[in-house]
Amino acid sequence: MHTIDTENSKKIRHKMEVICGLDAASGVTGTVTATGAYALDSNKIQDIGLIPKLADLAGDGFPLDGSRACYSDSPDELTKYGYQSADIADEDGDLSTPLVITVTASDLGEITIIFEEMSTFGFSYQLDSGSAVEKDVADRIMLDCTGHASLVITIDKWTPGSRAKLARIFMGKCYQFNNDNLVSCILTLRAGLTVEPTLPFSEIEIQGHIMNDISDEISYIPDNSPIWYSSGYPGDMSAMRKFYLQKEIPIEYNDKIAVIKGYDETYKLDSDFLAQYVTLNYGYSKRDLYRLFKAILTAAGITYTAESEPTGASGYADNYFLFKDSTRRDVIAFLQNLIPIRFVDAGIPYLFHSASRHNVWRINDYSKVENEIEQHINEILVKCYSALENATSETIETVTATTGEFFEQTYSDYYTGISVTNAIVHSVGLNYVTFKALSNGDCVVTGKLIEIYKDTDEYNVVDDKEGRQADFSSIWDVDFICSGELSYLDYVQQLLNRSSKKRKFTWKGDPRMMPFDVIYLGTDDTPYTIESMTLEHSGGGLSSQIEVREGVI
Amino acid sequence: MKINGTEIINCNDLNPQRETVLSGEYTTCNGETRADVVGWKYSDLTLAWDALPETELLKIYAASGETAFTFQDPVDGEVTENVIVTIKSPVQCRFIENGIALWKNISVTVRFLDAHN
Repeated sequence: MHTIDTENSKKIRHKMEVICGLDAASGVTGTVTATGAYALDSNKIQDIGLIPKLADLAGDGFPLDGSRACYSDSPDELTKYGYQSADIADEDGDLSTPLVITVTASDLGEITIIFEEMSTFGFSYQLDSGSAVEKDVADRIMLDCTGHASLVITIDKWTPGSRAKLARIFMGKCYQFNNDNLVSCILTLRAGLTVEPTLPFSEIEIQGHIMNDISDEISYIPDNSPIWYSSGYPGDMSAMRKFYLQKEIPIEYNDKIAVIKGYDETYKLDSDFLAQYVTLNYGYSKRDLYRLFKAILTAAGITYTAESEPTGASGYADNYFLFKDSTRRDVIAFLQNLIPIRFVDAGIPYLFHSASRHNVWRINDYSKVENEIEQHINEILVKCYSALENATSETIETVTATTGEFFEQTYSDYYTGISVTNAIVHSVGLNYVTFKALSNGDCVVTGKLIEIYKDTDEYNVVDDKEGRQADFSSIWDVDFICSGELSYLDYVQQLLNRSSKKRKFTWKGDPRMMPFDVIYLGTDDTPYTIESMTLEHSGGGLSSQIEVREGVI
Repeated sequence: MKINGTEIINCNDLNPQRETVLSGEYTTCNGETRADVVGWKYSDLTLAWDALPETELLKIYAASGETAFTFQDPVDGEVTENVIVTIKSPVQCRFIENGIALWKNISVTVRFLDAHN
């Protein structure tokens, strides 16, 4: 049983450990080499990102809870796995071949080294040709290497029976907070569970003491610097959540208290989604849309984990989707509400499609529950279209050009396979093309028109209860056009079953909970889905305000 | 014992008690309190003297705001804690003994400020 579960079952719980902070990359690019390391070559230092713990059979092995990454013999990014010694420490803790890591750069600046596994033995480091300095192993250690070109870290003793491990070397300064210097840490984690599509972002706010004046450093901390958070009990800490500093909300520093705020990666979805024409097979529509989800997230620069993709069935016809220009956030939010594919970030981006991937919690000692009833939606107005490309290309336009003349053309209609004669095409989409003329004369732009057929005027999906109408027609008109053959109306019908009952309450809080997780309250067998949750570490204690919607969504 | 570094005659009884410090408190729907234990602190303590020299009394009564209080803890031995003096009972009886001004029946209550893990 997890320590967190044991503590949660108590009326008065021991306070949780909190570890959170900000990694401010220095922008310095260094190189690192290591000797005495297991299968490690020279590599560039990864300056952003947290390292997963390694699945290592040394010592007592590793937990089978998905928290460990397997080592690859030829990983793309060697530093992803950190550095571990080739030798296992003997009974006295001695490594026959010490693990020696050398970091070089023209000026190293400040370097943070991170150990994720502790040892009672220390390590030493040496700057340039200076004398070696002994230091204890700790979670994160900042070394001021300003003005030095070389840092040599030597580990010659470690916990008997284990490999020495250094999880990460970070070129920059790490502002770290724990119960000793933390004023408060508030996380607001959200999911959009309303019928009208939303994809809200989650955020974090850390207030902590920093005794050394950092006023002059704040303006040099890069945008998007990772802000991280984990809490729990020794040996049972929650997964690390990652948020990102935004230039719109800079760090504040007054009276030796720093206020650091950041958003999860869903902010990256506020980027353009260029029109796409995709073929979906009716039997594989969920799988193919799952792949589309993944492509959108990847294109937005979001690093996430995903459940294995849905299976499908062969023998069905192809259908064609035209997604018009939009934002990635709108596409994800809308599709997420129509098909049972869920994306949740909250600092741990995850894409899933099966209901079994919900974490399920039963909690007892919650506060008085406040009910909030939204007006029921009993009718959804949608319009469905078919989008089908013509079999033959047609001339879209002919422009008269001079040699080297550059054109940026956009069209109100959508075409596949746009090409241009007498030109070098620079970029092309469904409704635009940019090209440079090769010689004086005509440039003929051709493509296959995507014709849009209105299947029927509109669909009114209704149930027999009283309520209000939700109008999706504008969304489908403007942004999403689908084949009527693909029965998305079934999914729309399911939306009418989404509950308008919400409940709010206070609970002691668990840092492992996620939006979309399912909660049972006391002995009530009614499931609720977490719509938002605020975790507040303040005064050393943790409590949470949880907002749930009835049913499993 | 000492108050702000000044030696004071030990009071009649000194029996410091410890209490837990809670945070994240809320009330369940059953009316029970739930919270996290974040540490402990000394409970409010009343110090009483049958008689105290006027010089020491003035030191005690001059204590304002955060004050260093040094005393013998039965567990940890001599400790120094930050306190504020919350109640100063009115003094009523002054007398001279061997040329030293004394006050009788002195009582002050201190509140401890520091919490410990």
